[in-house]
Amino acid sequence: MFISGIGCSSRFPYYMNTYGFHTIHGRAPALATGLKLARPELKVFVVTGDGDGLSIGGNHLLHVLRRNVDVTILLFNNRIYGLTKGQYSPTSELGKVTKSTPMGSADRPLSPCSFALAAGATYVARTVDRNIAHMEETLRSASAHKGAAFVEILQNCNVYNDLAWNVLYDKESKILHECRLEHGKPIMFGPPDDRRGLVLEGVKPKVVKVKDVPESTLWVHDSSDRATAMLLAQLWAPDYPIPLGTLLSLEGETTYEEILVQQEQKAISDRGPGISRSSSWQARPGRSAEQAGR
Amino acid sequence: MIFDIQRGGPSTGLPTKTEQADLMQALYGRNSESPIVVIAPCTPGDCFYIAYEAIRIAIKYMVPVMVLSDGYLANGSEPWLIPDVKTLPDIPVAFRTETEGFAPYLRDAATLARPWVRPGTPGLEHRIGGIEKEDVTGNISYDAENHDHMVRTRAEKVRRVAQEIPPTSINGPDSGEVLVVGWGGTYGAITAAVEEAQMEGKAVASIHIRHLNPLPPDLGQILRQYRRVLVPEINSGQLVRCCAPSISSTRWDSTGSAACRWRARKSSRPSINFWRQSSEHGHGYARRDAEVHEEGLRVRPGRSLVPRLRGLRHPERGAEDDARASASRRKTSCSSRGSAARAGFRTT
Repeated sequence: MFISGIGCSSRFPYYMNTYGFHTIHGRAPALATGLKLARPELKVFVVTGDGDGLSIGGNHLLHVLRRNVDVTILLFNNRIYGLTKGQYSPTSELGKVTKSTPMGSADRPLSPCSFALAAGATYVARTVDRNIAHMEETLRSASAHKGAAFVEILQNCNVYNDLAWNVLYDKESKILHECRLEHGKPIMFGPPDDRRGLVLEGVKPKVVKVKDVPESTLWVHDSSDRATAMLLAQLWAPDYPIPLGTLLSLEGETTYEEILVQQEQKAISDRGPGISRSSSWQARPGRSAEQAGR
Repeated sequence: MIFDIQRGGPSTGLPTKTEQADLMQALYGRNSESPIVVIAPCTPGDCFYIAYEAIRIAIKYMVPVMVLSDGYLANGSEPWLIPDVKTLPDIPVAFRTETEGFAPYLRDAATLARPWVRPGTPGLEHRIGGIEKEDVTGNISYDAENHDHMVRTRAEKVRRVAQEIPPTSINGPDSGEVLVVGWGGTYGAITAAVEEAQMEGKAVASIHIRHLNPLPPDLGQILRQYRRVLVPEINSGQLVRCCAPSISSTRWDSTGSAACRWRARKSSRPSINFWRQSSEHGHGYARRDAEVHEEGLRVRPGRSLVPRLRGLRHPERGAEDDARASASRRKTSCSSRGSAARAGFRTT
């Protein structure tokens, strides 16, 4: 089941040969939550964008994540409102000139992965549209996760925001900055002959040349740790690498619908189906008439 | 399903006080032409049954339903016998599983509802959503003629809900001088006032509308049975704007007379001079035409109508009765405002 909001991203259900709800702007998480409660056995994807998910539906996205509803959320981030022909979005860069910001955007951009981590998502990953193999791997991993899985897909808009992620499209820049995360392995990036890594000085990440430091000092990615995932989500070029892959993946977390279904079953087994009469009393017509007569 | 527990507005307005001022918004407050079913409970206990009715209609017609409750009902209470769930009427849902000949926008001939398909049913995969669809196929369509057809189909679907509405029950004689038409949480106040007037021998009846869109099919007929129609609402007159055209057109069809009038009047307190004024106007009408009067009653339910109906002037009685009415009027706190209200009326 694919549930989407509004925008270019949210046309997605029409491209899938399965069940789809193309819902209201920003509100796909609300419908997905409802569906998941009614039909916990369904596999539910939410498809949203940087505008739909982070501006119009920022509130809904927050709550579907913190509740850990078992849905896979794909956020197509092209840093622009493309369907309405090019207005700045919550992820547009500071100073960006668009139709609605002719003198440059005064808004500071939001980091979708930081948002998701702060909201309490139990799975957060990032991938990029031009790397189909990596995207497939990431989507498989996200959809296998139990709980709210959030995937930011860095995406181009060749009409209204071409080369939106040129930092990862441009060959030279990509080699310098793209950083594939692998759980349990040191975080490394850069050209093969000049690999860079990260070390943590206290809580501050520092870029080092791999050959200059002993491998044991390198920051090893632990996708089960939210604190370091939040550090990773903040890293960006040019000073730092751009982490791609699974930032956080917490296994075995209870989902929202599990708790509610349990509560419902308990209520039924404790009190029986139907309307509870435990704290009710019955008005007898004869007696109330008598009282009225007094 | 949308439950609107109305309060005084706009915005935060009177957050803990009641009002019935969301009716127009419920009926028309959307983009494009998108009617939905609107129903309203009349007592705290009725809230249970109206919710049940909302679900029944929504499922049978596959249509959004808005329930207009209000602060008075939500904060009110009354003895309510918990029903035996087994005695409640069934709400049947037929989930389609047959793949042969399936299309997502096929419609039931009687209700125009589309087929209910549980997501996940193999072979019936389809996409739905707010973007306009081609009828039957459910493909996205920007075609003007299809859009027009779909707008009309959606409206017709809501209109057909009228066939679900039981005959309107009338509290009092089924014809006469005055019919009081209410909706929502004013049920208790209106019923008490009308029954009091009836005990005084006045030819007054009342009906309470639970289905606001579509309106009960017998409403026009009932309204025509009375010489005057009083529509007290806790707003500036919203239901009256829905009822007045309905009887206007009915009468037009049957008698050819544009019979219905209504007055816009905003008042923070009820005026007992209302009926006196309207009966003066009424002298000009030789025919037994219904008049619909709009009332803005921003007062507590239960307090408003009794003095008003006491001041009702019987057309077949003379000055003696008028004197009695004004005597009773003087007893109320509203009497000092009489002349101002009268002046207000003449200007409208």
